[in-house]
Amino acid sequence: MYTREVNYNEKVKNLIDNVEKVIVGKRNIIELVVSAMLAEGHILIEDVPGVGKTQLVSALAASCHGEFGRIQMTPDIMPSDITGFTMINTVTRENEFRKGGAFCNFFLADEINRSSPKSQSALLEIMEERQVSMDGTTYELPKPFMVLATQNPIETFGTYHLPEAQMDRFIIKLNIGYPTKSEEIDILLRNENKVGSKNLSQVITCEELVELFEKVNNVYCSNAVREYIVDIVEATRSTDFIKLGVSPRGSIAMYKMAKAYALVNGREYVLPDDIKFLAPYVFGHRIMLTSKGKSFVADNERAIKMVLDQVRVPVEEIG
Amino acid sequence: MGRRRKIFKGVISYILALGLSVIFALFLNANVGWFMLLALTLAPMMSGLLAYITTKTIRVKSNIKECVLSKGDKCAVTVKIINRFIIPTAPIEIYVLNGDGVKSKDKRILCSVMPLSENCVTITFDAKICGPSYIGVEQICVTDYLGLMSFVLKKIDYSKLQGKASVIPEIADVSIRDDRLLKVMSASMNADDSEDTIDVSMRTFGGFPGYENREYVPGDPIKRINWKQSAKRDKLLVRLDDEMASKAVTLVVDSTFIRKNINVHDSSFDSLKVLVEEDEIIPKLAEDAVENALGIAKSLILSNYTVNMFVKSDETFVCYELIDDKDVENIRLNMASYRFLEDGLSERLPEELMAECVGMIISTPGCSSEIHGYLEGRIDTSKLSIISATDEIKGDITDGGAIVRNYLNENKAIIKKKENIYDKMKSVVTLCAVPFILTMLLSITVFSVFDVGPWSVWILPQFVAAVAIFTLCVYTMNHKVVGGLGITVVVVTMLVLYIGIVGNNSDYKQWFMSGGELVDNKFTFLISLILVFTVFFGMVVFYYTKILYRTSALLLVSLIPFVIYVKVIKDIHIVYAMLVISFNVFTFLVNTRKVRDQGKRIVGKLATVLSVIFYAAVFVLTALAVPKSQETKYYYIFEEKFLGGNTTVNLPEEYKHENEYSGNADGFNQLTNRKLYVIVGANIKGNMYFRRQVFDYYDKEINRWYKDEEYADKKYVLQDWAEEKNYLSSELLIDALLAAEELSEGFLEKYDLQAIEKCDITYLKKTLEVRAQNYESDTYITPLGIVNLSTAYGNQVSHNQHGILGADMQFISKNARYNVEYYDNRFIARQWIESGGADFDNESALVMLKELQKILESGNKTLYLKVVDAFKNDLLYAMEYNEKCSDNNEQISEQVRELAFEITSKYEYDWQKAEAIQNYFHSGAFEYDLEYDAEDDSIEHFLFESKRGTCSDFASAYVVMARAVGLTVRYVEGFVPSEEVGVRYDKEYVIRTNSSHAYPEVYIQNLGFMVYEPTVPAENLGNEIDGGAIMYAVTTGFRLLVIFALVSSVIIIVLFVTRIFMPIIKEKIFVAKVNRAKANEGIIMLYIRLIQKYSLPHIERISSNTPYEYASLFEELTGYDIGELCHFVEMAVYENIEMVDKDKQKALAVYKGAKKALRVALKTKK
Repeated sequence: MYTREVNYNEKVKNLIDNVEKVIVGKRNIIELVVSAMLAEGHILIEDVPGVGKTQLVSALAASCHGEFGRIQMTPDIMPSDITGFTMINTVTRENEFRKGGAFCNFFLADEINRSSPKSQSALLEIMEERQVSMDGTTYELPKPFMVLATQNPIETFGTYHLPEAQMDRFIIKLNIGYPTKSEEIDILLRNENKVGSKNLSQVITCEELVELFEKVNNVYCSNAVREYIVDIVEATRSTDFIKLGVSPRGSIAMYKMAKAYALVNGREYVLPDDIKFLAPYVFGHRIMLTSKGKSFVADNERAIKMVLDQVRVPVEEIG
Repeated sequence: MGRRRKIFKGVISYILALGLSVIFALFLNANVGWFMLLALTLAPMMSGLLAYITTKTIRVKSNIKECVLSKGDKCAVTVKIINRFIIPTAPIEIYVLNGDGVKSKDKRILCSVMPLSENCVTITFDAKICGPSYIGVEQICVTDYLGLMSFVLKKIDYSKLQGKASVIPEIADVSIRDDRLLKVMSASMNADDSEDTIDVSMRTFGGFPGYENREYVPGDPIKRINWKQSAKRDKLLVRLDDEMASKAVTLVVDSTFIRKNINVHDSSFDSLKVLVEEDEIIPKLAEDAVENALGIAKSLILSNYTVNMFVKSDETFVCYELIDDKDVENIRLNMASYRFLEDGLSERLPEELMAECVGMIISTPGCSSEIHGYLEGRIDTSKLSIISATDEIKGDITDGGAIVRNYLNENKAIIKKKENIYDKMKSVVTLCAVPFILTMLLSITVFSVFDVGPWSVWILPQFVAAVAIFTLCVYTMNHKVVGGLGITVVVVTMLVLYIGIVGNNSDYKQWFMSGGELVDNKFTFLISLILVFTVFFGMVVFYYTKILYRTSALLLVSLIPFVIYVKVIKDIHIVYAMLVISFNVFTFLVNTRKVRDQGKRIVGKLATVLSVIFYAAVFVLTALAVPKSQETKYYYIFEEKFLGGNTTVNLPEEYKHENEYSGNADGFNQLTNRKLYVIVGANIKGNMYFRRQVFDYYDKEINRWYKDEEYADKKYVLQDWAEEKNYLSSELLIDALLAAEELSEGFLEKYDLQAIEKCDITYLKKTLEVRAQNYESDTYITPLGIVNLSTAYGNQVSHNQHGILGADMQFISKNARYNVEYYDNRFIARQWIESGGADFDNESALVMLKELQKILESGNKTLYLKVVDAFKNDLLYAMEYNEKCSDNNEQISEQVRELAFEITSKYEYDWQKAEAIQNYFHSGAFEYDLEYDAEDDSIEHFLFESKRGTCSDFASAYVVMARAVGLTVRYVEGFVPSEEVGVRYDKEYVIRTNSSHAYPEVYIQNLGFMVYEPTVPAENLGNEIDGGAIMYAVTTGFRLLVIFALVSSVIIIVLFVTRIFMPIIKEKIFVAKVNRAKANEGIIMLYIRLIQKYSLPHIERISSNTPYEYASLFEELTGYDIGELCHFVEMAVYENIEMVDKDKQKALAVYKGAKKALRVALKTKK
């Protein structure tokens, strides 16, 4: 059987291994999350409660020398809670800017769909601009900055569905899924031994992360692969079971994500296999199905897979 | 069309065919008619028996099960029919059960099953209209081949062949601006108006309140009017607050749909009829009711209402609470099997509705007034809205929408109409028009090319017959009686057309019966034969073997004309026939294999093309290989036993009688190629002359010869003279001379005739068969040199028992066969002359004969005396004739005389002079030219100027020159067999009207009038026959055949080469290319070729697999690891690494291994 050799980048490998100490048997997911991090994107994790969404994010944050911020999004969270606000310092009698929860390297927005649209859109600006504008002053967010949002697909009562525009800003959306039997047994054991994200050592510094960003940028992507990405995106726009196709922002996200994923897998170049693997995660939340699509394909990820089956993998062109 | 009606029609057409054949038998042509009658009587018995056997031996299975479909889906039901008997089944008709909304295009499917095998028939159903339908097989019948009988299979459990298919309704696009919808929405608002106690804080998070307004509709609460906005917009607007979102609207789908209330012929449904068939209108209306309900529900949900939808299931109403889209989707699935009831008004609406009195009813068409009546008095209907399915509520967002829709509908109607017409046209054209038109064109061509004008009288009956065929074809097609009987009728009519109706005109009949022989065009005959048989039998095959083996069967059937052609017209070498047959069998096998392998592909395209071309080519090659025009012994059997006897040659009036002047040879030449005699047996090439008329005097003015009336009378009237001639035999004369030598020794020495003793001419006697054709003429065409004549059945009809040379007996009776013994006139002459028997002049010959007479008288040899007497009289007659003709010699110019004397001056005897003049013509200076058109047709011009001309020019010049030097000579017109046929059996010659010839007869002492041949062979035609002036010319058609044969053989060779060698060559070229290319390119080429050229059956050619995936897939299927190649590809394409040649070679090795592995894998899969 043909297997590709994987030469992990050492730092990335350390990071992944570290996270894996807490998260059992989800190496794929961890790789995805790390890739998204390296692609300077934000992640939306959607799954039922209790599968380790928050655990994953906090483990990731704990593995990095970075500030970790977290806000439990509830309906009464105000935008100022996230961005910060200006108040008069009673001592100095001066206006003073109090930074919000977002001023950190890893910002976990837990149960994002529970907060009001107002707060959601505040978050939106931060995610896109990586800066906060308040009273005419712009405050840069620290680098790296990454939003990890979780949401719960069931229990929709009293929630505010994330608008498509906002969904588009997350580079990937993923499901963690239930562990297998042996994995679950392992989880129980670890729980007993109190292996938690708090016990994790920090294996990577922010500077190193920024260096890695640079490296991601330098990953080689051939014309053929670029063409492949665009082919897929175009196919989503023309298929009759997809009402809303992938936006150009989606293609850019895929491009970045593919490079990052290649780096995570220790490659200096992008393969169509990467695109294929990433497509459901990157494109899945960016499309809307038609009623026909809903009755035939049922969910977005499957729709994307169907699209992939129709798109030819380009091999002819060199370089 | 019903089964019974079909059978009725079948019987009617059968009786019609019987009647036709009886008419044919009684009035037109007995043999064919009776034959057809017999065949038609036996056919239904046989085919009925086969059909009955079929009903007992087939088993039917189906894969049908309950299914749910979306609109526009196709659902394929496979019916497997298994034949467990050793003969193919009769046509099996599967009647399709169509549901209201799920329909198949075919109402009836025909199939047949090969022996001991099975056949899968796939019925494709289209889901058209929502709701539950029962589909599958309604009934299976077995018909006989003629369509006369039909047996229903009763023992089959049809319930296993039927199943339920439910079609999911679509959600109609409903405009929420519809007044009735608004009214209901307002009503529900109104109801909640009193309790205005909603928590304000909740409202904040509830949605987007306050800024959605709509126009006021009567019934809306005044409280809700947004006065500010209304003032701005100058119309009353009502607020659409989020409060309303929690309000529920009741929606009821009417449970009953009374069909009898609907008149589908009503003009109000005209717009629907554009979209659907008439019988689909009611299901369509029911569908509208369901879809509108869903559409309304959805639009209400979009406006933040909750919908309580009441749907009747079985006995009771079920209420579905619809909150969001998903609920609508769910109920949509449920509605797929929703069925309206036909009656039961009392249970029509749910109790809950009665209580709430608010909501909306989707009523079925034609029932809204009923519902009104039903509700009247029970509840307050003011808050109710009743929407009928026929109402136009679907998304008319703009007025433009309606226009576009109408436009589309109209277009659809036009397209549909066009399709219908096209379908009809197509079947009519393919079934009958094409062969019909071709036949018409063909016969018209034949008529106009040959001696009959295209618009002659009997074109009319042909038209009538053709129209009859046309009608029959259409009729056959419509009721689709497997085509069998209809086509039988068509074929019969076709034969009637050819032989019967228009056959009364002898030309056409002749043409057909003689295989185009008489009109000199076998090619057209061949085409028409192929046309008639292949097209019509082909159609039979087309219908019978609709499913399988069509092409092969067609090819096998097309052998029929081939066999007929070969057996009747030509005698083919067995090898050619074997070639054709084996190729047909090969094609058959190829096609069968294809069917087995792939299930779907019935006929290999290449195989078809190949076989058609090959078939044509072999046919043509055969035509080339076999000499051009034969009538084999089979032809005579065919002609005599089947076509009812001989044919008649209808000579034009002017050729039936004696002609006063010569020149008829030319006339005959121009006449179409009528056959007069067929001569079988000996080699008579250039030696057997047929005398028609003798001319005595030359008319210089018109360059013609004319007759001496006295001589003509004597020749034809006097029986005595004829009898005397019976003794005019060289054989007898030799005996007489020898007898005289015995009586008086030294007699032979005296006249220098000693060589006579050694002269033996009996071996020159030959036997042959002469077949006189049926022509009408009072000029008898008499073969020269007949010795003995008897009929083909052994009856002696000749008086010439003793075998007498030179008898020009009028032995011909028309349309008969004779066995003939004859002497080769010219060989005898040579023998005699060489023995010195002709070394006399007239006077010395007379002296010799007189002395001979005296000697014989003394010996009392009466028989020999008669012989000598005959020779003496002949000589006297010749002298007299010469005297007479000398008056005519004034016509001879000095120039000619001088030439004649110059040629003959050296010679003493007549025979020497005659030969000298003949040799003068053969010296090479003269040329035969049938086409030559001289300005001056005088003899002088011919002899001294042009030196080219036809046989009559040669003969005239010869006679004139011979007369100038004193020979006794006459000008004769007749025939000479020039066309040699029947090479493989006996020597066979045909005398045709264009075999006519002119030649001189010179009186040679002690021999009689002998034929000389001044005419030189026609070199340009390659004819070797002495004086065979007339050639059976190579026709253009034949040349075309040659070209066609060459072209097709080239095509065949190319095709075979392509088929067998091209892949190998291509592979070699490819590898060479790879070797030449850069490493990266080469590797990519290898990979692409691997995934495209050698794709596995279930990997698509345009692969959505990445190299990595392909490698795994490949290994899974073949067990061969192509990972290395794929890895190289990845490196080359995606990593942009310049590979080295070493890698390329590695990749090539992998590629080769992969190819092998694939081949093995594919083999084992099979």
